[in-house]
Amino acid sequence: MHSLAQQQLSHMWLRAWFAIVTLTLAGVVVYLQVGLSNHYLDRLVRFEQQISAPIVVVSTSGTLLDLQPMTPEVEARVRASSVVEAFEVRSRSMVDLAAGPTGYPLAALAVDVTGPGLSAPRALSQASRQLLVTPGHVLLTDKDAEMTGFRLGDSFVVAGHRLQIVGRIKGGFGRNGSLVSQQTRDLLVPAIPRTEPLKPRIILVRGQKGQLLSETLGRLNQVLHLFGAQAMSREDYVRGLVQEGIEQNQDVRAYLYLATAVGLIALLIIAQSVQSMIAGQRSELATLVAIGVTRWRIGLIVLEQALWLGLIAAALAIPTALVGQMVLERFDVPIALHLAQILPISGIILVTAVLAGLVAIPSVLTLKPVQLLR
Amino acid sequence: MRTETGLHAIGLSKWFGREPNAVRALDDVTLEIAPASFVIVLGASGSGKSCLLAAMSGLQRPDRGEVHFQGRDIWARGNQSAAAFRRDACGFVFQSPGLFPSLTAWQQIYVPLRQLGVDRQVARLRATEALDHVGLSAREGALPTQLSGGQNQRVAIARMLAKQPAILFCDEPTSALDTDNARLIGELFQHVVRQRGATIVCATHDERLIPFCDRVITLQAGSLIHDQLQDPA
Repeated sequence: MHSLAQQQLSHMWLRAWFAIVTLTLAGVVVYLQVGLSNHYLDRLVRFEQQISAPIVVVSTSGTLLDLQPMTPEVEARVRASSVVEAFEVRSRSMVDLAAGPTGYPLAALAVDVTGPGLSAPRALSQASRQLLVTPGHVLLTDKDAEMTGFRLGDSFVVAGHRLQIVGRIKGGFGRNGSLVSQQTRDLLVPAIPRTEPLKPRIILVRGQKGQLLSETLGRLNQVLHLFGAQAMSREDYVRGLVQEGIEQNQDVRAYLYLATAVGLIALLIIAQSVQSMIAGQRSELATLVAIGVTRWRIGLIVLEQALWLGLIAAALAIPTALVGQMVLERFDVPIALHLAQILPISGIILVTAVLAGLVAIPSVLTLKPVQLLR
Repeated sequence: MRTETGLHAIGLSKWFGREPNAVRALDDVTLEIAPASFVIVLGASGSGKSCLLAAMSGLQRPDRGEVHFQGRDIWARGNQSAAAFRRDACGFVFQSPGLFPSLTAWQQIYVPLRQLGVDRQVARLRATEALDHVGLSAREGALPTQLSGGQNQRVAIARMLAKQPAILFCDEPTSALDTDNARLIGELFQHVVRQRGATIVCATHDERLIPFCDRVITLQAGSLIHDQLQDPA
């Protein structure tokens, strides 16, 4: 047998559907806003998310988005640290290659595949790493292939050196995510006459085997703080970048404010709907109060109704948002909806529905069975 | 089933509004309801019968006076003790049956019992018995829209009987029903009192129920003006 809440919902289907559609649409808007924000944020942290190094050392001055160079002492301390198994100093990661047949310029990330490989993406297979070892080899992402028109086997000349597309990489590398080795980059970037070596902006670190990450971070930071640098986990670094990205990008902020506003409006509308549903069953609920059913039990019936609204809306919002994403992509709107975000957003829809139920609960307190008397 | 109700109203007064325009709905009403009796409270609209019912059943606190059940004042701890009294001892039948439109006749009885914390198996049994008691076993799967007004009222009565209350408070239970259905309800009430030993206090202006009751109390302008024992049919 279905619960009272379910049966009442099915009976008041028109009111219920109004609430469900409102909540579903709000959920879809939130999904799409997040998808639009993702597009920017993904680009921001695409490389950082995929690096193999579990630890990143950066300067404490400036922001993560605008990293300040670190002093040579920092590199020396990392090199001398007993908790560090391997490290990789990076000062520049992107290298411009050439315009493709479509005229779109190809840029690639330079990663280390011969040393400890800390900057190489974790998802990069051993075979792909081997392909990159030879200077002049390029691995092309699907997105870059689509944008530039380059195909497997194509070759082109950059700064007097012949480069060749030797492989394709799939996955979340996206636009400007094609890869070359650091050796290739060194060939292409002309030596700049300078009196002192280029200062590192980031040092990728791997701790000793069997050592806890927190322990490695703690030991490193004891020393690095004295030299204006700090070590953080890769996840914290990515999280920090995303946070700064949200703070600095007005579009992303606007998307998130809009999503929050839509969520709040939906909350109010659903609360009204739930209240109206309570009003529609006022005499029945008041009869329950009259015979001694406690108000918190009646409140639970209301909350269960709200929960069902949320569950149905959350289930409907997912396919609707995916269709919305497809439509936007057809119109070349940059959007990236991640599967991993579906569960939390569905959770937000559910929480919104339950909050709406809670907002409507006071109307249960106003049920007066004495009003049933004529 | 309890057989001792011992419901005693002492000096009940209730007024609405403030002096000098206050309307006195109940004016120092004192009465004792014997166990296992069917008592009708008669009176014109505004005579105070619903107000008396509300005060005696713990639905609305009187401004003055006390209501004792089994020797205890039901309003001693305010709404809390009144709610406990309603939960433990009372059933209610209103003019509108107050049935959930989405529930079948059997579910109308079963669901409130479950909400009151009655065990699942016991609730099933009581729901079936109560529906049988009001002669609607054959319609147990019917929704309120598939039943007549009289049948719906009988379902509402069955819902309260299943709760096994010591006292059943009814407010105009037959005023929206035709003569045949009103007679059926009257017979049902009489049966409940005789067979189950419950007490029924029924506020109504429907004199068709009088032949079935044990006592008629008449109110006028909030005062008890007539109290007569009946010889039920």
